This record gives sequence, structure tokens and C-alpha cells, in this order.
Amino acid sequence: MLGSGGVTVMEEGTDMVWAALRLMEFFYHESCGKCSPCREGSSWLVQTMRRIVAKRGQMEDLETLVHLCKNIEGRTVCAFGDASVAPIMSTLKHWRPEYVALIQAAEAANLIKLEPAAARH
Amino acid sequence: MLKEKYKDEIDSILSRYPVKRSALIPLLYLAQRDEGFVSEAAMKEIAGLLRLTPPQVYETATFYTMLNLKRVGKFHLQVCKSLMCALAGSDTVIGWVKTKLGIGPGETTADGLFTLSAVECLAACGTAPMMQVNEDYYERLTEERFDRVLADLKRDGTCQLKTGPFMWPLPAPPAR
Amino acid sequence: MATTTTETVRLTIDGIPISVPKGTLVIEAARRVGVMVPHFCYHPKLKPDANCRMCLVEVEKMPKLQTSCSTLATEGMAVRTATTVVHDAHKSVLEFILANHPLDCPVCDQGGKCDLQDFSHEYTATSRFIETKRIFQKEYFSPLIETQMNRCVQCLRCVRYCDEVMDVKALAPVGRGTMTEIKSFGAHPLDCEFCGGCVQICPVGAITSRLSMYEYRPWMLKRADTVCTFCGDGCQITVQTKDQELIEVNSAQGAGRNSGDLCARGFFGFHAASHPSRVTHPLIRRNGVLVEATWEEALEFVAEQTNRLKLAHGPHAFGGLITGRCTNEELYLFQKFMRLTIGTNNLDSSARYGHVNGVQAMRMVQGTHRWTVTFEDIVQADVLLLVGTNITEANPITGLKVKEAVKKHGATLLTIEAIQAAVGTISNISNLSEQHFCVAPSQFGAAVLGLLKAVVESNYVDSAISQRASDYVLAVSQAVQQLTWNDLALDTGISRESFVQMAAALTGGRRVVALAGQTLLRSQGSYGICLNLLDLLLLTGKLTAQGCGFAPLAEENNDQGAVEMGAVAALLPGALDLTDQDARTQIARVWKEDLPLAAGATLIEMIDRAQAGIIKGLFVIGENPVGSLPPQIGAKEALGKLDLLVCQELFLTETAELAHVVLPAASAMEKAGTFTNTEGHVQAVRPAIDPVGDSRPDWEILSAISVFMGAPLEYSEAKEILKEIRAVIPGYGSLGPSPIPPAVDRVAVDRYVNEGYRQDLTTRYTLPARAMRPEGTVQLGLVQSLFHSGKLSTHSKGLLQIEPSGFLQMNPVDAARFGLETGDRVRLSNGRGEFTTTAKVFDRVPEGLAWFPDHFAQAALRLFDCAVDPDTKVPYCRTASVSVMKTT
Ligand code: SF4
Ligand code: SF4
Ligand code: SF4
Ligand code: SF4
Ligand code: FES
Ligand code: FES
Repeated sequence: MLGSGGVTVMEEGTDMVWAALRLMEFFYHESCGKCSPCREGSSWLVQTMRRIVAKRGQMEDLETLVHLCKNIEGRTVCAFGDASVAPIMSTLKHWRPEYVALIQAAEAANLIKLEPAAARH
Repeated sequence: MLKEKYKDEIDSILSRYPVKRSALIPLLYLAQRDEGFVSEAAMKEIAGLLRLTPPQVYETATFYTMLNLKRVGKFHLQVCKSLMCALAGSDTVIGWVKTKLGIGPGETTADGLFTLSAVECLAACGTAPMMQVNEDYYERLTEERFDRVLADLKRDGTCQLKTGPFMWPLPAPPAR
Repeated sequence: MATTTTETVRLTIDGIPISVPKGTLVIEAARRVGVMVPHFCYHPKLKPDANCRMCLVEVEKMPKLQTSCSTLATEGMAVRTATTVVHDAHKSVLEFILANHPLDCPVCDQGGKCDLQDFSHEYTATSRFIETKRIFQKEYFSPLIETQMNRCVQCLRCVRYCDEVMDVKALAPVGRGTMTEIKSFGAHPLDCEFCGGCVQICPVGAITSRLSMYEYRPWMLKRADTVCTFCGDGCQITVQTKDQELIEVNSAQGAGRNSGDLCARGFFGFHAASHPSRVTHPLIRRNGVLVEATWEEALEFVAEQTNRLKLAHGPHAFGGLITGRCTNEELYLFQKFMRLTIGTNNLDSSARYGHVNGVQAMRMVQGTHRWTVTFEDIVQADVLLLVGTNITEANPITGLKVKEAVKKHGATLLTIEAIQAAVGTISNISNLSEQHFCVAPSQFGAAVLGLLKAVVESNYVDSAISQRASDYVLAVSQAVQQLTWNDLALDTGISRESFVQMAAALTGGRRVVALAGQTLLRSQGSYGICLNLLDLLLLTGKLTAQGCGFAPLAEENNDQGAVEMGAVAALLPGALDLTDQDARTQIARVWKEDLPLAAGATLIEMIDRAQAGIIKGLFVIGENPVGSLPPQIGAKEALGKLDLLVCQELFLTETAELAHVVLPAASAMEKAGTFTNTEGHVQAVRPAIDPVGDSRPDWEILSAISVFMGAPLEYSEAKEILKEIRAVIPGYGSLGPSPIPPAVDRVAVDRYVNEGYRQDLTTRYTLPARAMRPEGTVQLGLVQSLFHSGKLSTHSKGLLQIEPSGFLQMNPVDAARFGLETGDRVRLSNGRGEFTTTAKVFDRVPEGLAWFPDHFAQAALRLFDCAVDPDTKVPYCRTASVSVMKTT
């Protein structure tokens, strides 16, 4: 389930984290902004997802994502909030390795970047 | 003044709603159609027509991203970037605009003809990728069709390929 | 609307049982058992919006957490606010709210009184937010109000307040999502009523006052709860000071008769007291100029001269004038000083400018000198009739009560006002009217007669009164039959049908309150019109019914007190007739001396007597006849002839400049005592700062003069005077949270319907002269501005930033007729003189009229003449016919 009940068929090999981000961006844009969990939550989720997709994520982000989604669910004015967390919740459930791979790539890149600085200590 | 120019249309809009305030969005659209964007003068005039304060009109005008508060190009290309279109290549469409017109999202060509916006789902996912130009839809975009749209727009101000927007069910594919 | 039978429901909050009236919100029920559910968007004054989601609680049998701010308490409900689930929810919502919130506390004016700060401490909120916070470009918002949108939690309280309570609608949430910001219109600075309500209601530091920016922390300030002096509404304010400096004014939610709401004057006007041009030392005229003197010298001088003049010319060679801004204690002592120490009834107060019209009418018909209703009755009324109130500008908080009645409770509003219905930057009461008659002040009388005729001809007359007082009803019926609908229509522009419709609405109401305001009370014939309004209520059975009544609005904060303290020529303390033998005996017993019986001179009569050389000495306390009355009256020449003019003043006014002695008076910010508001509610005034310079409270000055004169009226503090007032007027000033209004005196009503009405019925049931409007002229009116109060407020830096000077305000149609646009220079002239000013096109002004704010009218006064009411001696000098010409 990626959100609002529509069915989307995707090619095998589609980047599911990217797809989840696209959906999340949609929800962020459409959020009317009236209630704080949906408004702030969707913005936060988008920012974190963008970082992960841009290979700047960290492992703790995955836990934060789950927490944020759970904190939005059931606390908003309307059902939009509940729907908006579905893309991330379900991709995390079914394609977690894709997230992990992106973060590992990020960590690897960071290590390389950090090494010279770390060496000075 | 809108009132002088569109008297009948405004009267007909106003007559449609038992609660005056409901006519706000149709009137804002009218203003946008007139100038290509919703100007402060228009918002003030609409406020007067509906007995609202200008801030109340401003609130609505800034909430809906389909309403432009700044001048846009003669043709406002609104390329859908939501998932379905994205899967079908909307990023590529945005790329075409960049290479062919030299503008990115939020930018306007120097001749003032085109403005590009990347927008969210326009409810034509089944015919992705798509874009809306002013009030017309152009769907199932390919590079060839896209080029034709640009060329026709420049030349004729409109293009035969336009399709909608339609409500379901989709009508027969347009003749080419 | 009456809430007599209130059903209750029982529920438990965290196991504590409580029963609350049906319709109570869970969050309020919780508050009652001492449980404070955290919240941002909820506010008792506003409709629930449930947008912040902070107030979630568990409700048994409900699957999801519920927002307690929008859930009604129901029978048998079990609410839990202290479970882990609830705590986690609060913590997580707070985390969301803090996500985009800057770490500004050290530089934020809200620091120390911030809900967000408090809740964050409570939940030891930590945030996992490591993304980029939104940043809004800092924009100029307005001269007095500042926004810091980075701090906004988007609870929309400000927007909702401005709409629901104020009906101004100047604020809008602009944009969407996290980038929503509170703005007014585009890049234009805020232009609104500047009530400060949004500043007060913002739970965080996103909207703040510019008058006290970055100056202090709440805990550094000293507070005094006192009463605003800028109108008769009598709002409770909390004045915050630091080292004798006035820092800020606000009003606690629910406080006072204003329930914590204020207008611009109350919220932003407080600096008037600390204006640098205050008179800070006694001044004595020596060789033609006023020079500084010591208190001793000044008092000795006054006492000697007074004694000398009294010996030579007798007590009636004196007069006294006092402003209704003084405390009851001062007003009382003033009339005692005049009546006892001097020995004359030549005394008057600013209530004479209009308020006595309403009071005398009430005394005549219903035998009270106060309202028989309260603000609560206005809020609960189902029909409200406003006549010449200009309520938004003259009595803004009474205006809020009217708005509450209409907007929250669906009352029917009927208005007869010299205001054109239009949406503007300040609210316009006629926008809320069911029926609005836009008539010039000169035709208010005709409009009221139209209603009376409609009532009589439509058989709306209450059967009880027809039976009880058939002669009276017959007399009224005959009187209105003399009037023709045609004449009424020509005078007012209102048709018979409209009159009948309004009369029907009025008659159909169960709780009907008729408000008469400043525009009416200061217009010619007002006393008669007030009587006619009372007739209207009496005939429709609305005078004595529960929740019904007549409410004339006081202009100055203590005009009502002035009347009750006997600080007007013909009335003794308790607003009793000077000739009332019982009252005289009672007072003489307390004063241990008899009081003079000879009728006293009123304001204009005193000026005339000074002119004629009969009055030789005048005590003027805070009044400025030279500056406020048209020069036609000759106050300046008359006062120039006096042998002794003593002024107790804050500022060197036009009158004080003529004085032989000026005694520096303390402002209301600097003294203790009581004020009586327009409803007749007596409220405590407390000093926020020490008297500025050598100034002293007016009662102290009067007391000192009497001591120097050798006839001491000695009191050690204002409270002692109040004690004496209570001996004279038993039970005066209960100082409770709300007034207990007197009931209509049946005996007085009987006297009126049997006898009283005969005196003047035919005169007051005659149409006023039809307004003549020769080509090229308009009817110029001096009006009250929302942003000023008398001349006092023109010393307030905050208010001057909103309205620094006067403009000629004119309807767009008239402006076009004269080829005028906003900003053009315009010359007004008539046989009496001319006056040049700047024009401002304003669609609120009715066609054919033009407005100029009273507060800046000094130079315009020469265009006006004055008519004195034969009954109440009220001077009417607020309208003049003038020719208009554009100039450069
Ligand atoms: S609004 Fe409150 S929490 Fe925010 S910076 Fe100001 S004081 Fe701190
Ligand atoms: S100060 Fe102005 S914007 Fe704020 S609530 Fe009052 S009228 Fe509205
Ligand atoms: S400015 Fe204050 S009151 Fe208004 S929405 Fe923001 S936080 Fe709420
Ligand atoms: S001027 Fe009147 S309404 Fe305004 S705050 Fe003062 S007492 Fe209240
Ligand atoms: S995703 Fe592009 S139209 Fe729906
Ligand atoms: S206080 Fe209940 S949702 Fe904001």
C-alpha cells in the first residue's frame, strides 16, 4: 500500500526509496498544513528521505522515519495524515534492504571523506 | 477593473452561490485568466465584490498553487512530477524544457513566452507523462509530441494536441 | 438564548468525577478538576479548531486519541490525560511543533510567558530533528505590531481572534504547509484596529508589541491591575512597569468587564501618562507669565485669593469644572469642596457633554440613573438596537459584546447609525446588522419616531401597558399620527415597510437591549430622543422585562461616576435632585453642615456668568473648555476675565495657559481610587507608578487647598473618601466581579405614564428640521476615533503612530463631486470661518456628511456653533454645514 488506494504497477528494478520519496513529496505538497503532525511530519519525512536518496543518510534515520510515521498516524485532523505515511511505512517494510544499501553507500562515502580529518587527532 | 470588463460573467458566477464567499475561487480564476496572474488590484476588487477583506482573499489566493501571484510567461508549462508521471519519464520532460527553452522550474524564458513549473499530480496519471499549459492538458508526451506543442504554441498560440482536462471516462483519443 | 435551565453531564477525568453543563468541552472539564491539558490552538474565546493536536487525551470506548479541545463532555465519559499513551502523544506532537522552531528563547520577547517554552520544559522535549529549519525573511509588519514568523506554531489563534472576536479580519495565513506565515495583505503593512488581541492571544513569541521590544523579561516587571481611562467601557488593564517606567499594558484572559479584551487605546495608549510635556511643578502667574513655584506658595496663593474673593463677592462668584476622567473619590471631593468649602452649586463635569442626556432620560422614565442591564445582558440579548453609538470607535468593548451576541449567539442586530455599511480596515458594526438605517445624526430623532409610528400603527403596543396607561398610549398614538410616512421618508430615506420590519423585529425579541451612544448623546435633541427610545421600549413591553433595557454609553471613563458623585450642577451624590429633602438631610448629617440650595450654573452657564463678571473664580480640574468648545461660545474671553483661574492639570492645555495657578495633577496611572463604568460598575484604580515630578492626585490637591483656606476636608487616603461616599450613598461600590444593576422603579414608571410624559411629549414627537444641504456643502461632524480619546491620547506615542493627525474623511461619491482624492488639501468654510486640512476618502462615511476627528479639531472648531439643550443644558456643537473646496 503506497497511499491513497490507487494501484500502480512498477517495473521490476524500480528504485523503491526514490518512489517513496516521490510519493512523500506529493503528500507534503498536498498537506493542507492545518494540523501540526501532518504539516510538520510530512516536511520532516521529505527532508529525511531526500537525504537518504542523496546518499547522505544514516542508520538512525530509519528508526526516526518509523517513529515519525507512527506519530502522525491517528493524530491528525483528517485521514490524509494516515494515508501520507503509507509509502514510507510499506516500503520500509518490504524494501528495507534498499534503504540500507543507500545508507551504507552514504556511510562508506563519509568514511572516505572523514578519514583525513580523523587522522589529525 | 474586472467588474466592467466581465460584468455578465461575474454576475453569473455570483448568482451560482447562495453563500457569496463561495464565488471566491471562480473569481480568482477569472482574474488569472484576464492578466495571467492574480494581481493585488484584482484581489482588492474581488474582496469588494464579496464583502471580504483583502487579507481573506489573499489567504485563499496563496493557498492554491494553481493561482499565480506573479506574472508568468504567456504559456505556463506545468509538468506533473508525481510518481506515476515520474515513472513514465516526467523528469525527462523537464529535461527537454531545459534543453529546448533553457529554463528550469520556476523560471521564465527571456522573451516572456514560457514559464516552467513542476507540479503535483494533475489526475491524468493514466496518460502519463503529461503537462498542463495554461488551462489545457497535453498527455502521453513524447519528445516529438512535445516539440510540436512548443512549435504550435509559439506559432498559433494553441495546439491541436490539447486534450482536456477531462473527467472520467476518458474520451476517445484526439485526432492527430 | 437564556440559559436558565442548564442540563449537566457527569464524567470522570483521570478518575475524578465531575459534573459540568452540557456543551462543555473536555479540556474545560479537565481544567475544572485542576488538570491542565497542554494546548496551543485552543482558546476559550474561540471556536475549537483542533489544529495543533497537542491536547490529545484518551476517551474510554474511543479507538483513537481525541482532541480534548473539540470533544464535548458527555454523560458517563471516562477521560484519561495521564497515561503513557497520552504522554507519548503529547511528547511527539510537541516534537513536531518544535521541529521548525528556532532556538530563540534568549532573544524572544515571549521568554518567560511562552506556552511552548513551558510545555517543552514539562515534557523535557528533545528533538531528533536534524534537517534544515524553515526560515522566513524578516518583514516589516506594522508600526506597533511585529511578527517573527520563524516562531509561529500555526495555531491560527491570531487569525481566528481577529475574525471571530474583532470582526476585523486583518490577518491571514498565507501560503501552505510549513511555509505558511501570518500576514495581512501582500507586502502591505498591517492596517487594522490595533486592538493588540493577536499579540495577547499568540501562545508563542510570533506576534509581539513593538512598544516594548527586547526591553525586559516578564519576571523583572512590577504589575498593577487597574482600569483604562480612555472610555466609559472601563476595561481592566494590567500595567507593567520597571523602575517607574511604563513598559507594557495587557489584560489577563477573562479579566474585568472586558474579559481580557482591549482596544488600541487601552493596549497601545498607555504612554500618555509619561509624556515629557507633563506639568511637573506648580506654576503661578507672575507678571503675566506662569513660573514655577513650590506647592506651599501655590496653595497659599489659591487659598488667599479664594478667601478674598469669597469675602468680597460671596460663594456664587465661584464655579468648578471637573473631568470625568477623575476617580469617584475626586469627583465626590470636588463637589463637596464646591458645595461646602466654597458654598455654591456652580459645578459641572464632562458628563455634561452628553452623558447627562441619557441619565436624565433614565431618571425621568424608569427612575434609575444607571442601566438596568449589564454587558452580560447585551451578550445574551436576542435583539439589539443601536442608535448613534459609533460603537466600534467610541465604546469598542461594548462593541465586542454586541459582536459576541450576533456572531456567537445569533442575536438580531438593528442599527440606526451615521455609518455607511462597508468593509474596511476597522470593523463596521453595520456589517453585522439584520437591518441598518444609515441616517445623519440630525435625523436620528426622525428614525426613532418612525419606529414608534410603526409600533403604534402595526398594533405592536404591549397590551399590559395599554391597559395600565391608556392615556399615555393614546397620547403617543395621537402624536405619531401627526407624522406622515412621507415626511419620515424624506427626512431619513427610510420607507414605511422598513420601519415596520424593524419595529416587528424589535417587538418580537424576548431580550431586547437598546444602546444609545455618543453620536446620539451629543446631537441636538438627544434628551428627547432618549425619552422616545424609552417610550419605544415601554410601549413594546421591553422596558421592564427580564434582560431588557436601555443602555446609554458613557464617553469618558468616569462620566457615570461624575453623575453618581453629584459632580453636575443639579444632582447630589447618589444622582439625587438638589432639592431632594431626604438626600439633603442625609448629606448634611455626614458633612455636619447644610449645603447650598440655590440652583447651580452648568458648564455653559458658568462661562456666560464669567463673561458677565458674575463668576470671578473658577476651579478647573482636567477640563479644557477653551480647547474643546467652539470659539463662538467665548470661553477664552470669559475665562480671561476671571480674577482667579485655578487649573489642576496633566498638561498645559489652552485653558491652563490662561490660569493664574496651575497645579500639577497625577494621572490615573499614579493614583488609587475607583471608577464607575458605563454599566454602573465600580472598579478599583491602582497606581502603577509614583506621581510624575511633584504632581499629586486631584483629591489631595483639593484637600490641601481646603486646609490652606482654613476649612479642612482632610483624608489620609482615597479609601477614606470612599468610606464617606458609602455613608452618603449606602453600599456604593461593591467592587465585585460584575455589577448588580438596579431594577426599573415601578413607581417612577407610573409617575411617568400618568404625569411625566405630558411635559414635553408633543415637542419631542415633532420631526427635527430637515437637513438642508445646499450645493457645494457637506454636513461636517466631529467624531470620535478608535485611536484616540479626547485630547489625552494625543500625548500617547503609540496611538500617534497609528493616527498622528486629523483628516477630513469623506464618502467616495462626495469626494468625486468635489474632485478630491486621499491626500488632497481641502478648504472648509462657512459664515464663521475657514479651515484647511487633508482629505481622506473613506467609504464608511455616509454621503452628504464629512467627518473630522474631535481629537485634532482645535483649529476646526471655529466653524461650529453651539446649541444648548433647554432641559439638560448639554451643549451641542458637533455639526456644522460647510462649503468644501479643493486647494493646493
Ligand atoms: S516562542 Fe517561546 S519557545 Fe519560541 S523562542 Fe520564543 S520563548 Fe522560546
Ligand atoms: S491588532 Fe489588528 S490584526 Fe491583531 S487582532 Fe487586533 S485588529 Fe486583528
Ligand atoms: S502567530 Fe501566534 S497565534 Fe498566530 S498562528 Fe502563529 S503561533 Fe498562532
Ligand atoms: S478605551 Fe475603552 S474599550 Fe478601549 S481599552 Fe480603554 S476602557 Fe477598554
Ligand atoms: S502523477 Fe502525473 S497526473 Fe497523476
Ligand atoms: S488545543 Fe486541541 S488541537 Fe490544539
